[in-house]
Amino acid sequence: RSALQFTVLAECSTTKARASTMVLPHATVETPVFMPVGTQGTLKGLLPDQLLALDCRLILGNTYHLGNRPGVSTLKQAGGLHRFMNWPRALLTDSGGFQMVSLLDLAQITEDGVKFRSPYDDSECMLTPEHSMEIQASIGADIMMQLDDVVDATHADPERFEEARHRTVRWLDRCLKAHQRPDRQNLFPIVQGGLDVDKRKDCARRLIERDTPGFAVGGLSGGEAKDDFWRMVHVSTNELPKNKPRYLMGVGFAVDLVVCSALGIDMYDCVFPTRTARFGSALIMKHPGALNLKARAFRLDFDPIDQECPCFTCQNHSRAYIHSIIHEPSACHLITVHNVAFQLRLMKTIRQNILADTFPQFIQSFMLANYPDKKYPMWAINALQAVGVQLS
Amino acid sequence: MSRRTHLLPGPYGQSWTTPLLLTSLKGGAVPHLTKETLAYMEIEPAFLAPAAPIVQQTEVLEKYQKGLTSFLGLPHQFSLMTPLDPSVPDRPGFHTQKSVALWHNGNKTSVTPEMYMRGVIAAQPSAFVALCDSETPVGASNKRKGKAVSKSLDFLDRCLLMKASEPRLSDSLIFGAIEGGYDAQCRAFSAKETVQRPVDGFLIDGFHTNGVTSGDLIWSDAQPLLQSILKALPDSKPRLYQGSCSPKMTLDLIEIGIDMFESSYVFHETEAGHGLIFPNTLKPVTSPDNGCHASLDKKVDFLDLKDPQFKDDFSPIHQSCTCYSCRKHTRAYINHLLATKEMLGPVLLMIHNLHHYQIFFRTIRECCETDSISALRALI
Ligand SMILES: [Zn+2]
Ligand SMILES: [Zn+2]
Repeated sequence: RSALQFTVLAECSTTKARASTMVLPHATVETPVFMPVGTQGTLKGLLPDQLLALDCRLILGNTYHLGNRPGVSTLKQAGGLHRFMNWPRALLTDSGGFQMVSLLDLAQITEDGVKFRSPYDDSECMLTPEHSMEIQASIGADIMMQLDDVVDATHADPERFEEARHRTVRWLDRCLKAHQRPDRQNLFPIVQGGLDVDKRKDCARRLIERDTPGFAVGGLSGGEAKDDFWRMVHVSTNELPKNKPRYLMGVGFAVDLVVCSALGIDMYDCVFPTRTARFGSALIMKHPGALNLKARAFRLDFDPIDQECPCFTCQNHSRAYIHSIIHEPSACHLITVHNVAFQLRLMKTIRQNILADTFPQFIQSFMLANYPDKKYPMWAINALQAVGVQLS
Repeated sequence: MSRRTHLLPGPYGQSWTTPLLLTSLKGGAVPHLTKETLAYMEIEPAFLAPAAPIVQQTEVLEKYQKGLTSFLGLPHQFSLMTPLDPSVPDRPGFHTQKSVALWHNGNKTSVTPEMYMRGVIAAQPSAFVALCDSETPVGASNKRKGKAVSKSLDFLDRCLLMKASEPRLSDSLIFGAIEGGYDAQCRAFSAKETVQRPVDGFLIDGFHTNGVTSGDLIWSDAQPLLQSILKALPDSKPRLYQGSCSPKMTLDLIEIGIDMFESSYVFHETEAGHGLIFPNTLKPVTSPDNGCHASLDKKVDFLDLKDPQFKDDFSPIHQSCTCYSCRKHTRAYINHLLATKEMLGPVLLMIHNLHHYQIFFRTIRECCETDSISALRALI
């Protein structure tokens, strides 16, 4: 028995977008979905009840950080991360590998796993596929990620990609073997293959053979060109089965969410909306995409961040007020609430338009609102054209 | 003997019973909280609003027109505007003959009584303390102390005049500050002169230099002066004290006749990662589990939740506390949030600590009514 039921409710008749429900042990998630990132068992100062008030159903935790603090022992005693942080709804955890490679200078990948020096006591440690599964089991996330061999997409050496692609498949088999509770936790493999169409396809095909409940598209949203990025997403979703969710890791800008949903992606995560809130930046649905509430221009602006936003911040506070307290932690909380609400509202709008089969028209009006001068980025024009939507 | 409870006429037809706790704002918000998270509190707070952020944006509040608490999105509760932020250490040496230096976010504003009153009119608080000079730290010269008194009286007179001619302030209470540092003569003169003016209440000011050190007040030095000042004040008008007050100091001050306090103690404890656990009701409660290492017969006011001993402690901060944090979260989780410097740590602590201190004040009011404050004192 699988811990995930995925039902496609509607497919866009023009693009590859779909609207689905994904039933997880702790929540029924409506897709396309954006997952806010709660790295260390908390979402940037928000109480779990505030996330419930926003109808957020799925958040992400980072295995590398949670494995360090509070650690496996505390998580096990607490009965998992849901209980530890008192979050009743669904959780997804990454494998820890990507965080290590990007955060630790000394991380080194061998066949056994990711070798690294502990930032706490300088000892040599090894994150193996089995160890990653053990930590993720103690966290108890509804969806876990396999440990994958991460290579920066802009990496020059084609042999390194070849190695990473094969190793990712070998590590998936080790993760599957170590996976103890397939009835309560789902394991997603990660499609790798750099920026090479054939290798992506091949990697996807070999992962599909393992019959997992869903798939992630990895190794993107790094430093690669946007035209490479969308093509790899396009290739990957073409290969992946239609009856399973597809998760594009590390993507969260509004335009990317709209375009990649058209390419057939169902799930996203990104630190951007919560991180940018810390710098006083509040997201809006139109050009220029965000308001920097630190700017003096908002001193006498008594409008809410977004007139149409139903979030607590917009219903109760003005831009002028947030500007006036911008140096207080409270200002960050107010903007974080709004930015999470923004992401969820955008995804809901995308979903509603897919269900009504008006998604192409929505894309056009959304892009026009964000680029009123019609100077659309070339990659977005190309990506949308590939799925039958013209930007004029 | 404890002072009888005293009703403060509040806005919106409410009345406020003393001893009263005012929740101190910091730059326009309850530290770490928002209107949304404040709504999780059981008790709606009354507020103390330091003047610096108000006078630095008088123009904004004037354009806004609906007053400070409305601008901040706070519930319509009692609000009192006061010159200095009691949670921030004073920066001495910037006052002038005609003005008082108020600081906010590193910006200094030299505020005259006229500027101050413009801020008061824009903020429309339920009450305000007239602009005053409290720069009389231990060791201040006699000249400086005399100066603080005369300047504060002069400022008070000007604030009173402006208030009298401003219909928008007809419902606002005005408090006069008693100054003079640690000098009996200056204090006596300040009290005698202030009492003669048409003020609605008093701020007992100038005993410390604000910030966390305000809690280190040397009681034996301050007590005789405080006592003689309070004796000189009419019984019918409320007396406000600003500065960090431990539970014991709060009871000491109430006993000699202070009616109103503010919450900078709660703020400092929260910043330190402490969860308050001192007895705040008369009800016999099962003694809070102070953690495995703390000895139970030793009275502790707080738990240091940064301590690794709480890493796997899945009990609430305080066993019998009904606050949001204690109902929903554990010491272990808060310990983790503090260890990882996550913003939610102080949020949960602030909710608990403020709640705990509010309940303490509720108990104090009950004890004043039943003349049983000594029973509470015995627990502290
Ligand atoms: Zn909003
Ligand atoms: Zn509590």
